Amino acid sequence: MEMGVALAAIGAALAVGLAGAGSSMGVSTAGKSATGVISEKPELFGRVFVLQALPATQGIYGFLIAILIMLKIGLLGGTPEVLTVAQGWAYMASGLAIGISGLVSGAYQGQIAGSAILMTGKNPSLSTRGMTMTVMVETYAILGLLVSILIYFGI
Amino acid sequence: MIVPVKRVNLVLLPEEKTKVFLELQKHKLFMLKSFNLENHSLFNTEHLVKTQKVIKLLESHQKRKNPFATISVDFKTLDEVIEDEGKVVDEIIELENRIGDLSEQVRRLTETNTSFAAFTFLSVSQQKLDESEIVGFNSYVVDEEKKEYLQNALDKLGVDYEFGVFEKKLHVVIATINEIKTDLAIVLHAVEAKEIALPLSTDPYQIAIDNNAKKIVALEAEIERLGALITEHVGLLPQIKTYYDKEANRLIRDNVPHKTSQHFIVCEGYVRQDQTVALEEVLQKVATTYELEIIENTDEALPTALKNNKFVRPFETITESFSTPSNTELDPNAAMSIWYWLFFGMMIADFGYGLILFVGTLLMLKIKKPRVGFKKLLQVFMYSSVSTMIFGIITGSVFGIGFREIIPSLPAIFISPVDDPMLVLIASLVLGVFHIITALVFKALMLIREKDYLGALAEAFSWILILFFGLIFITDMLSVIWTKNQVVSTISLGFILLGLVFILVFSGRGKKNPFAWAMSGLGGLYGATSYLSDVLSYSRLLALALSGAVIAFTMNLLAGMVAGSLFGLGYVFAILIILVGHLFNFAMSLLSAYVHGGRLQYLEFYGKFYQGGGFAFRPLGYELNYINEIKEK
Repeated sequence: MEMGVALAAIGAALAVGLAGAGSSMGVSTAGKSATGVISEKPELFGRVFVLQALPATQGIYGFLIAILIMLKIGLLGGTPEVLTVAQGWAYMASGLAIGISGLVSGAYQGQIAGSAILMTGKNPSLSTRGMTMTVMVETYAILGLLVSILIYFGI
Repeated sequence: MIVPVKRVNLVLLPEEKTKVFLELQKHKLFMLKSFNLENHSLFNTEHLVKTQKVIKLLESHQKRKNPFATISVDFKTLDEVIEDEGKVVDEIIELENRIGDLSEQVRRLTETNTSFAAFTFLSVSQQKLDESEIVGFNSYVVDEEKKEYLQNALDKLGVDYEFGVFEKKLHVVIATINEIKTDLAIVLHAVEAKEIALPLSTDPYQIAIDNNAKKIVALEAEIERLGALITEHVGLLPQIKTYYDKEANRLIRDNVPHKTSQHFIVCEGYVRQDQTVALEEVLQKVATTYELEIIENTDEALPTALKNNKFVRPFETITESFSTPSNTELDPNAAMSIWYWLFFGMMIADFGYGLILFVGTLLMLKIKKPRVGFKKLLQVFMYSSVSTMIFGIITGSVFGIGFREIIPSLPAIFISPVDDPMLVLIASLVLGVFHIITALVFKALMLIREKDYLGALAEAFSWILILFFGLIFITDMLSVIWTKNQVVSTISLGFILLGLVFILVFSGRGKKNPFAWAMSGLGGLYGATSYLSDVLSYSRLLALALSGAVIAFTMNLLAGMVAGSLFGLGYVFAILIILVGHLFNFAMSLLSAYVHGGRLQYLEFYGKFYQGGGFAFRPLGYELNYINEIKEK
């Protein structure tokens, strides 16, 4: 296997791995608050579940970039491209953009999602506002995703 | 748009109050002042709570639940007063209470039997042992391995005793006579015996246990019989649910707040200005004597009444969950709904998903007949599914498969976020600029209404010029649509400068101190950073469309990879991957579109001009908990 392909593969792994790690942390943090609220008010499951799912998106973004990279280097069928080492590094950079932003924003979005869940528990009519506040954190993951995509298509 | 609301006092004869409010509930024209039904104590009335308990009980007895069961009634059923209608509720509560009593008896008997279980070896009853005056009987617990030692010792002492092993412990009852008391104490000390009291019983334990067991069987049979009686009532669920809503609404009518004078009652409230005549008509029909006193120029805060067309109305919930408009501002819902609709479609942008969303929400609305809040949300989704389908056609994508993969002869007119990310990104940002400009137009209108014309120049028109002509300028520079043209770029640059001048000059309007005035102007320019980040925020339109498209594509790819393998079994997995994968992607895309669509409105759009902080005009109507719809004739 070419060095370039190997580097790009590491990029894919970092994208899905780091962003996924961030999401798992986030969803679990939010889930801890969710279980508390549900134990008292089971009827709020729908609203709480949506809030808990919000930090899951970073993992999906990472997965998305990983798939794109894997497609490009031929790990998912199709004809593999011949990559130079420099291109390999560039794909790794593409993976890192969403990887790092996803890791941090996912973990922190979980915290605000958790608070929003507690808020919903106290006053269910505020759940949409809680969602909006939670989504603010995700903006940076979206920017990371965007840069990942732009690097990816720019290579 | 926001319709003016009038503060009114409704003067009625006390004996006609119920009749009038029954009619008002039907027509939804009159809002009562300080009558907030959310968490109102009237819903804690004993009979309502009982009815609710019965509904839950019957639902738990229901064997097969029909998730599509709905209740539709007409006004006649809803208002009918039937004597003894609540009787069945009391009957069921009575049955449930009896079941509770019997279960408690079973629990006690079971507990007794457990406490007897260790002493079944005793041939005599505890009562008899207790009555003996010559000999004292004591019982002890000893470790099982000390059994032989204890037996020998007791035999040597020549005392009477009985014993049995229960849960690896030796339970022993000894007849103690005074002469051997000391010796016995030594023996007991040696085996570390613990004295315990015998549970009270008139019969020997084994007999008592058998008797109790018989009683338990009988009690359980009775519980089952009563449970079956409750189950028989399951068919009455719709009637009981209807009864609950009837009762609740009767209580609402009875609890309408009012002031009493000698001959009349006065109800304070609000009416929409355009519905005053309609309200009068209703009142004329039902009340023999009444007066509708309109209070002009009141200092009180008035509720906000919105009047929008069928398309815009559901989108009011989006605004509502941000903040109810104040009754002095412009209703942003009409503009917002179109933008929300557009962005929602862009973020999912798949014909297949749009179609599923359309059919799904349509079926939910038709079959489930959801009540107010959820119904509006479903309608938002249903309308937005149309834009999703439209963008699905523009991107040429159905379930992540390109139209041209299905029909290769189609011309390459589709703009997909996967193939042309830069184009879609630019389109997203440009739409974003127009979205922000719409917000600024609102801001300008508000400032003009407040007669702050210079403010409108400084804070709204300036940025409209800068954003719009900035867009023209960049388009011209990059020769995207037309080739670079000196005239166009000069003119647009001129307007941008004009905008900047507006900001610099008018931001500090009203400030006497020239230094403060200059600082305000520069501070106004600093707003450019927030506009930049606002515009960039619209890149999420591309990012979300792309993520949905690629994940759909990935699911198809994975399914394709397993399909041919495993001697045809691969197809089963392929179908599974397709179903689960697309369902997951659909759900996540829907969530993202809903949430990010809202965010773009709340932050980028409403952030520019919206005041909010009002309270909604909610006329008195039927509060329905279980009934899904009222059939109007």
